[in-house]
Formats: sequence, C-alpha cells, structure tokens
Amino acid sequence: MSTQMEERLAAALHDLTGDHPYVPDFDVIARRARRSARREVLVRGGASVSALAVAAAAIGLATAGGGSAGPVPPVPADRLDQLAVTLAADPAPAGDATEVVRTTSYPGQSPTRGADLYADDGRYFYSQDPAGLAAEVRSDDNVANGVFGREVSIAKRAAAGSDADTAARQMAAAALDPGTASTFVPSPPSVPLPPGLSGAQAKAYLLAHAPSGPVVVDDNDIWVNALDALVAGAGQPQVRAGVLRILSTLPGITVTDTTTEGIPTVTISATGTPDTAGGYRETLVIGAANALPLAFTGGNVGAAPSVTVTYHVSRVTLADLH
Amino acid sequence: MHVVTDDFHEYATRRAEPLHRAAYLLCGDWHLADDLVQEALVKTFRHWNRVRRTDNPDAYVRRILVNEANRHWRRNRLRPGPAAYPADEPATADGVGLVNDRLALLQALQRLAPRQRATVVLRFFEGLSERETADALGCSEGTVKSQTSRALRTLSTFFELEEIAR
Repeated sequence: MSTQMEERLAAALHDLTGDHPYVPDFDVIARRARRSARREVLVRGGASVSALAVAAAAIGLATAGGGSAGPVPPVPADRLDQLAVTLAADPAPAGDATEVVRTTSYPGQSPTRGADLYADDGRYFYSQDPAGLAAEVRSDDNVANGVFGREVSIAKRAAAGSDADTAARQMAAAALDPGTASTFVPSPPSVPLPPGLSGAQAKAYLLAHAPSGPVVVDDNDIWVNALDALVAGAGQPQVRAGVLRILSTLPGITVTDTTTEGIPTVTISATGTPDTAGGYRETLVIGAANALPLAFTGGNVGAAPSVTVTYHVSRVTLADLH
Repeated sequence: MHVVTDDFHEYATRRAEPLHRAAYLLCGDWHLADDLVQEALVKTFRHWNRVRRTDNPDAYVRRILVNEANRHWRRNRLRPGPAAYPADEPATADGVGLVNDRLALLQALQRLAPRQRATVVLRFFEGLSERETADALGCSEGTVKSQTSRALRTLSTFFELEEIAR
C-alpha cells in the first residue's frame, strides 16, 4: 500500500477529529476510583485467609524455549490432526482460568513482560507484572472485550467434532459479528453507475451500494485468529485440539517435529502472503505432547526474527487469588 | 478526601484531548468518546501508583481505551452502529461537501473490524510504529502488519471514491 495513501489517511483522520476541546472530570474520576478501592478492600477483607500467591496448577512444559529448535524434515499436516485427537480426549483441567505470561523480545531491546488471565467464563484481566493479576481479580477489573471469546468457542466446537473446514471459515470471520457488514468493499469499477450523476452523487451511490455479503475468507485471517484462540484458551485441551484441527486445514503451513531446549516440540510456520510483503513468516512452537504454546516468532524469511514471544501457561483458580 | 494526585492531574490533562480524539475515531461518536476516555482515566488512576512507574504509561492507557471501545462495540453490535449516528458537528465554511466527506470516512472506519480500526487509529492517527501498536493491542507485529494491510485495502476504496467525486 502506498505511503502516499497512508499520508492521506493520516491527514484525513486529523481533519476528521478537528479541534475538539475535552477536559476530564477529575471529581468523577476520584469518586469512582474511591468506590472501586472500597470494593477492593471489602473483597480483600472477606477473603482474609487467602494469600496473594497464585495457586497455580502448573500444566507442564511451563518454560518456553526460544528459537533453538533443531530443524528436521517437515511432516504432514495431519500430524496436527493426530495430536488434536489425543488432546480432545483429555479431561477438563483443574482451575477455572488460564494465566499466560508473555515475554516479548525485539532485537537490541530488553524483553518486556505482560501477564494475561483468561477466565473460563470470559473475563479477562491484564497486568504488566504477573504479581499484579491478583489485585486485578480482587478489584474485578475485567477488561475483556469479547475479542477472543468467539475464537475460543469456535475452537471448542471444532474439537467437539464440527467440520474442520467449516470451523476454519468461521474462524476467519471470528473478529466480525454475525450480521455485521463485511469489510470488503468493491472497487468502483465493479459497481455500474447510473448515468448523469455528479461526482458527489456518484460517491454516495457507490457507498450506498457496497455489499454486505460474506466476508472474504483467506488463510491469514484463519491463522491470526486461531493463534489468538490458542493463547486465550491455552489452558484448555479442547481449545488447543480445536485450534490444531483448524490449522490443519491451511495448505500454506509447514509442520515440523523439533526439539526446543531438550523438549520435543512441533513447529508450525506460515507466511503472511498476500497480506504482508517481503516474505514475512510467522512461526509457532508448541509442545509435541500437549500443544501448549511455547514460542512465537515473526520476521522475514532468512533473517533474524523481528519479534520473539515466549509463553508460560498455567491453570489457576480465581478464588485462590482473592 | 480522595482526590487525584498532582502528577496524575498533569498527565491526564496533557493526554485527555489526544485520547478523546482517538476515542472518537474508535467509536464514531463524540459523546460516547467522552465516556470511553473517562472510563479509561478512572482505570488508569485506580492503578496510577503502578502505571506511573512503568516506562510507558501511554501504552497502558491506550490498551484500556481500545478495550473499552471494543467492549462497547461488542455490547452494542445488534444496535445501529456508530456509522449510523448523525454527524454532530455543524457544517463548516467548507460547505456540505466537507461534512459529507468526513461522515463518509467515519462510516468507512466503522465498517472495519474492531482490531483493524484500532490498528488504523493507533498507526495513522496516533502515529505509533508497528511495534508500539502491537504492544498497545497485545498482539504480534505481524498481526499489526496484516491488519493494517487489510484495513488499508478497504479504506482505499474511500480514497478512490474521493477521486471520483473531484
């Protein structure tokens, strides 16, 4: 996409917002924050026997390996299906939430860490430090926006036996709500214009006749949304199984048995083409036995990763955090 | 009495208007933008002692703001979308055409999926890099790249229409 268009877009966005004064209401901010603090104290008092320590039921392979996987010849994608079958038969795990500690590294910079807590009931808590998650839970500072809820549900259905191709198409559209107009808009020549319209009338006509049909499905949507589901539902074997079934439908991925820091792993690679230029490739490393996400890298083929993310996944019980 | 601290007051005063404008682009309505920014600042103040010690408080606030906007979008998905709201700004000296252009762009923005919309706002309005946008959205840089590409592909139609209208 041209830089010229990006510049025009930036200028148009600034023009759109214009000069619109806004002053925060600090009285309201203080009052509402005080009310939240009171609630937090009450909750904490009622759970006086609780410790702040996360009583996590660690679910194995908790230490992510970075990029030391030793490459071996690729194996068929049905490797993912085989693993999915095993996982789908696993019993429901202990706990009612999944804690994911992400460590993100960029070349030449110190790694940064973030902690996500995905409750099975859909709530989501975030803290830059894992130790801060308990406070987020106690104050019920749920910042879920539902973005990953649909992805996780689709993965669960896929694990339960729904058709993998259908699940993949659903996953591609998971970021859009049913009934929401597609983001796809035809280029102007595809919509015949009635004769005699002025320029402004032509524009209005074309906008009014943009279709709201099915979303254009492509594999990159499936890949991106499936990885979101894998991380958000990492603590649930059924979610991991469903994600693997969905990923196995993608013709453009490469699946390789690897060993990462002594741990048997499976490495799945996908290119972002045609959405990204320059041969950008993303790679996911999962545990060979349990499909837990361990590491993610992105970068151009043949070059050092431009980003590496490692995951430490554990199951927790929310009540233990109070 | 519980009052905001001086450093939070200074921070919020300095950041409020840029956040407000970003919130407007995220939700398409100035009044709703008021609420989104207010909510984001409440949550920021609640954790201010921790947030202010971080290297980048803005990243925390942006993340909260985007989450609030997405949460609103999810809750209200069955109602008329923000793009259906009337433009609440008066016609300017530029005339009706300019107002229509702005409304059309706002509509085009609201047609994007939430993550694409947030990516566009952070990248091209806030001027964040792909890396900073990924941090703010809690996703990979590759996701930002693909979401940006997809959003631009959709919005390119808007700019092509602009050319036709000239």
